[in-house]
Amino acid sequence: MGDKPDVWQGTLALMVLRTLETMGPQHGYGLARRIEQISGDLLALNYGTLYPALVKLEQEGYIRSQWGSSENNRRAKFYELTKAGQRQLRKAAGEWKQTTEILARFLDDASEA
Amino acid sequence: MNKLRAFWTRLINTLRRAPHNEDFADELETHVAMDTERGIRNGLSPEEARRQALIRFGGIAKAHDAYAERQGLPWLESVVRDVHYSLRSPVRNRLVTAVAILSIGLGVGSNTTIFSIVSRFVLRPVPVGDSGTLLSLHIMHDGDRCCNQFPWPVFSDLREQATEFSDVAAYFDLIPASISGGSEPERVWGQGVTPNFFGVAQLRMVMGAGFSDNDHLGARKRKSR
Repeated sequence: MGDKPDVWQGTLALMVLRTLETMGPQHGYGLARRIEQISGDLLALNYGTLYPALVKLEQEGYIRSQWGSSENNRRAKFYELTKAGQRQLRKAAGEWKQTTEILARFLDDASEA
Repeated sequence: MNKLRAFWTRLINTLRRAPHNEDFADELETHVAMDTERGIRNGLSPEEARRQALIRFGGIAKAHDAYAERQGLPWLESVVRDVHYSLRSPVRNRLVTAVAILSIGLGVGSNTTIFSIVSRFVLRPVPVGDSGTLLSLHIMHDGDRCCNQFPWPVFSDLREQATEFSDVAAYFDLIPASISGGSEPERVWGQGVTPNFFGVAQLRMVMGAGFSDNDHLGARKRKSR
């Protein structure tokens, strides 16, 4: 577990938004598991850090939450993407893609030189 | 816009002082319980499953702190606490409060007095019509400004020949005088000025007619005789 990279600042929010878009409403545990799975278990997600991020997203109006019951009939809080969240996701994803593309070009150049 | 919205929510949470901590505790408990179940399904003992779930969570208390911090505005909370404290302590120490109020009162009083004097004599413009075009003439001595006492002939030459000025007026030092009407005479300080002084300074007479330049010529004639 020690060698896995921590989640970079700011990327967790994007992962949460994207997961909610593809999976629909999710509770915190489901989100955490899903993010770990998609990362191929390469990412060490400290579950405790997920919740403050969720509060922030909810305060900003990108997600909303309500209590419901889980598949095992357990009371759980479900998070859901809002319209504003979809817009934010598209914007942030675009920016992120651009950033990684630019960086990739730099790194490719460096290996050729 | 969304940042503003988040700030607003946090502000309201802070002022209401009612963070939904129980809700959050429930949410975390659900999370840990779900993770524990998964461990049990994978063949761990319930105790071991829960232990590992808690490790993976990385500190319930830490999550609570981070959550509380994100819920409200910590800096505002401490400001509110400070204000409470600062309002409570003066009530407890009456003597200290009295001394403090007294010294602040004296300080404010003396400052006000000093400022009103400074404002009257330094900050406020001279009470003349157009202070921008009013100049004071001085004699130079060794390259330094010296004195502004001119002999009468110099003054009259200045007045007649220095066409850069619309007019030149002169004044004399303060002179004591007494005014007596029907009642007791009153001692006042006056100032001797040339008749055109009020015109040059663009000061209007409060009452009656002012002086005319003929008075001035008359004075000169009288003097030359």
